[in-house]
Amino acid sequence: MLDGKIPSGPIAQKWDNHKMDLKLVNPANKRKFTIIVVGTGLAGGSAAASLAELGYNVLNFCIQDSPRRAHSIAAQGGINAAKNYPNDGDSIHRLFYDTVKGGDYRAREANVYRLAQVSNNIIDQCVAQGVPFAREYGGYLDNRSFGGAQVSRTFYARGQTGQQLLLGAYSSLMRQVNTGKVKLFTRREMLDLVVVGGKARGIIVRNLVSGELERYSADAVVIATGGYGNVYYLSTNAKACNVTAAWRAYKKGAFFANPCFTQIHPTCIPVHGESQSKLTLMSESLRNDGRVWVPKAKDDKRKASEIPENERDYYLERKYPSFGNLVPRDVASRNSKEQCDLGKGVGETKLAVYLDFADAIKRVGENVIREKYGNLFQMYEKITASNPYKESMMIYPAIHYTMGGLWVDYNLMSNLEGLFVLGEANFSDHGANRLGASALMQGLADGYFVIPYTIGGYLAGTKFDKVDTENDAFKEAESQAGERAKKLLSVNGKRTVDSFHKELGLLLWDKCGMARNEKGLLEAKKRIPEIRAEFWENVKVTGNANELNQDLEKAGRVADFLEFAEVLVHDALIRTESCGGHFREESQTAENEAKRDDENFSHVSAWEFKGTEATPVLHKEPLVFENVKLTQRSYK
Amino acid sequence: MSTKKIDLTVKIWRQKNSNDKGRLETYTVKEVSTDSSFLEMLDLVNENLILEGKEPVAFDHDCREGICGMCGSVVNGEAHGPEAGTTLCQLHMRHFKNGETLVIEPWRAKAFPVLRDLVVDRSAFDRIISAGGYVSMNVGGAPDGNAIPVPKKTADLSMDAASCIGCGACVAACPNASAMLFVSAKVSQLALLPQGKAEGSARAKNMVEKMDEEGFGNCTNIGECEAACPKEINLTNIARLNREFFKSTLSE
Amino acid sequence: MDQTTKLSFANSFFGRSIGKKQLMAVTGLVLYGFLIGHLTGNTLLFKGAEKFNAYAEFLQSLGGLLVLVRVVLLVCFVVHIFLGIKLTRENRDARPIRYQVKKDASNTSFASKTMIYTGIILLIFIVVHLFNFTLLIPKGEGFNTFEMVAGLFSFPAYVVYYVFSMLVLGLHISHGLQSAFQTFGWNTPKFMPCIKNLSSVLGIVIAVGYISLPIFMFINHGGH
Repeated sequence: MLDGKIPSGPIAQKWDNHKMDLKLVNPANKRKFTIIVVGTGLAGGSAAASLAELGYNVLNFCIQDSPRRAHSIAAQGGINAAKNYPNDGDSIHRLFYDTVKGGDYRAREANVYRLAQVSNNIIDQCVAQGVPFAREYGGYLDNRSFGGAQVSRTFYARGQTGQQLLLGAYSSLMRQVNTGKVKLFTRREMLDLVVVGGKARGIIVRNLVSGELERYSADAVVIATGGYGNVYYLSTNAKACNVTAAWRAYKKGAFFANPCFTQIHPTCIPVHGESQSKLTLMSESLRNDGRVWVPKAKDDKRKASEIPENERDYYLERKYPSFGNLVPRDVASRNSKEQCDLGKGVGETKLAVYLDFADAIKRVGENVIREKYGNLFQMYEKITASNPYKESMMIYPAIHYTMGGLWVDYNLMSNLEGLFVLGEANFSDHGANRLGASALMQGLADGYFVIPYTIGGYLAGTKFDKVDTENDAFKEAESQAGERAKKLLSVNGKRTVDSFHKELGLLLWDKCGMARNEKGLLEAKKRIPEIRAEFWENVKVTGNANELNQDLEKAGRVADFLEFAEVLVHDALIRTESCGGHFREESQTAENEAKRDDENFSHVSAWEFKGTEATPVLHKEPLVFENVKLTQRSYK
Repeated sequence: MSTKKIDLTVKIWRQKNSNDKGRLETYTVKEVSTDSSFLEMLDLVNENLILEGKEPVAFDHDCREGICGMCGSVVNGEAHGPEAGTTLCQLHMRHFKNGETLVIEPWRAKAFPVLRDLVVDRSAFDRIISAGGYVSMNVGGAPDGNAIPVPKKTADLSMDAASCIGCGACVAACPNASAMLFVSAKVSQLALLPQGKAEGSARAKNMVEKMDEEGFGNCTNIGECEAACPKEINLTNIARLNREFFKSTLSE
Repeated sequence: MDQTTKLSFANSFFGRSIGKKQLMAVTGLVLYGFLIGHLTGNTLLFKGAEKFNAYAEFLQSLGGLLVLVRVVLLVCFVVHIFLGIKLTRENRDARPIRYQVKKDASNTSFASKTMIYTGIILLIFIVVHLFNFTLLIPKGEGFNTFEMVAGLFSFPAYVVYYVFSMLVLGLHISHGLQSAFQTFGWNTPKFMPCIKNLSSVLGIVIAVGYISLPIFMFINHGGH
């Protein structure tokens, strides 16, 4: 049984009490500690900046050429906070409640409550940093509504909220770089975690320009390296997003929690063909006015505009009369897949459904639609060359976010001492499904307002031996990383890295995507080791290890995905209930909705590494709900 | 979406590392879907090169949705290619004709040394931001978000400037390899907001000083930067930077 | 930004790219003012020898003031030219390896990209002009400036050279004026299109004004 170290007391006081209980490091001693932060997104960037402000020495690493490019930058919609500026009944408790319910009751209550509590501080912090949030004419902050909530609590900066929040964190970070408290290492990829005496004490990175392996030691390691959505190859994630840092930590003993909780976003631009490298998300706000449909007949070759009204099936409106097109993300996604599986998909690949604005344009006029969605329509047209004011839009679901991640306790520390995990890389706050505009909130909450306290508690209460990079553990980790690169380069087979990645992605999408069943999962579980074996025999990686070599970088990441995918599928297989983004076809209500099994699965599944070819060991952290009542969702 | 396949000749800058002299090499790439992005066309070139046992073309890219600022090359003499307000990753192949020849070069500037092929080192931009592109405040001390109203128009102008993605196209396109549009976007964003005003002039001075140190050229008000900017950031920001800089020298 | 480097004003301002640009703009504006004054005075050529010679004598009679004006102009010229060359060299250095293919954006002007070339042509013109009209001419009691001007403008080749140089001048200042506004930061979205138009129109007016002088003199007083 895993202990989440949740503080005692009423939920509203837990965090405050805990902050009082945490030991402090006095200001003069802070400069004696060094902390490694891997990642510079909302979580990593804000953590590195805040820790440096406190006086710690921070070593901060990122894979891109600049910390400003972390994938948090691509978040569009906004960031939630319980400010209740619109006076519409919001509160910390309501944000907490919505988030727990939205996560289909698979998140830790105490963490979510803390998240809601600090949400307000985040907005204040960002405004003070110079984030140009949208304003009303009176000069005060504007809010908009988002899915899964009945209040307007989403703060935004046009359709670029993630970018602006990230640039805010980046500016704080660069200020600390200027003071010398943060040492920044760009174009570095973490290849291993170094554990000495049971504690995380350093990392091995590859300098992506020179190819050299470098060792860094510290008193604590913070991983904020994002999610693993790219295991599916096609996703809305950036190309460099990968599981490697988290995976290496897992192989060093950190538990991996709920890997099967992946979020699939219903409104993405469909795949156009085999050369497609990445999918683009369209804000889900489109479903406020767009109507989703497919032709009633299979394999209908006509253009959308040529299909008369009575030959169209507005299946969401038909099946869910009360929510219609505004059903939650998971429900909308699953239904698109179902229609395409029935052979009713549209477009050249037959893997798309229509999202039609003709009615809305007729009702309110093209100008109103343009005002609301102009930039989205423009983006759609840029990518597809089709004018959505005239032609029906085509959409299809895509992998977008991963709720699972490295297991952490209330202090955001892994079971591995001294290893802290923040943001999307951890599993903690979103349960089995994340609500819109909550990812930004979590990343910044972890970095600005949680880790500065909890890491102090760890550092003050722990005895540290002197460890430097000459330690054997460093030497060994470095030589292993070097061997691995050598091995990848020496296979010299016939298939490209991407071809393996695509094959794995398709398999997962098919068997462990929007809907999962035992048969498919077993097939995938059998197939993954086969692909992995072929990879190590037949992959072709060009160039050398001691130079800028993007092919080698990719190969390393895909090699890890090929191992990780098996744990993901295994987790999905063991969790025989449906919840949030994890839909097991065997577990549905009479109305085809996800049916939870609270009796058997009200727990976090945390997996322990036992060897690449061995089955991981399951550790359960029971989820106790004292402040919300568990109910079955229905959208009819 | 009417998909077509086109064949292209691409002349790509190949350079092993920063010490190598570099040269254009010519490749043909066949059956490029007109629905693919420019980077997906490069993916295809690389796929072929790898299968031939040659080293693929190194190029920077990440989000592939036009926001991270990682990608960028000069295509037929234009930074980010021929479409206005578009990053390379959002440029689609339907804008090119079958049989066309494309010359693809890296950003060229002394301050952006080439690391390999189309990959350049833009860390000079980070150092400029580090010299002053922030509001000096620590976490914890912020007043309520609504404590200081900001007129909507000001917030919108600030947001216009803040939409800079730091890709470096302005430097690449400028005949003088000047970084003024980039620097001015950050200075403007913060100078417009009440939160950033307190250290406005010191910011302008320190950032300009760093910019010069990094070896960027001088702005001669030509406007190539504005035309190349994928986020359509305009020259008014440079004027504001000039103003802020002038103020900073007077105030000392 | 706790550690602002302490530099002398000269260093912190003129040592920086924007400072150099602003100095360039100030000296440019002074020279621009001289262009207007010089042209206005010289239009007296149209009024005939008497008026023009009187004007020339009046200028000579200013004595110390004339020296002062000349010194100021000289300083501005020297600084403007020096900075122009320095900035150009720095800009060249900022891109040591050129593009193999470079396409200019459609919204940028020819004038803006050729300032150094138009500047050099004007520098040569000014030297020639000074030698012809000011330095090599022995002046004294009863010197007829009008006759001297008429004499010089009786050579067709000289007129052609003069007209060419003034076209170049028009190009140079049509970018120069608006550029100065931008460099001082007097650029607002409302105001700037006006400035750009004004800058072009004034460039044409001044060029046409200067060109009209040799042509008028050649036709009316060419003596051939």
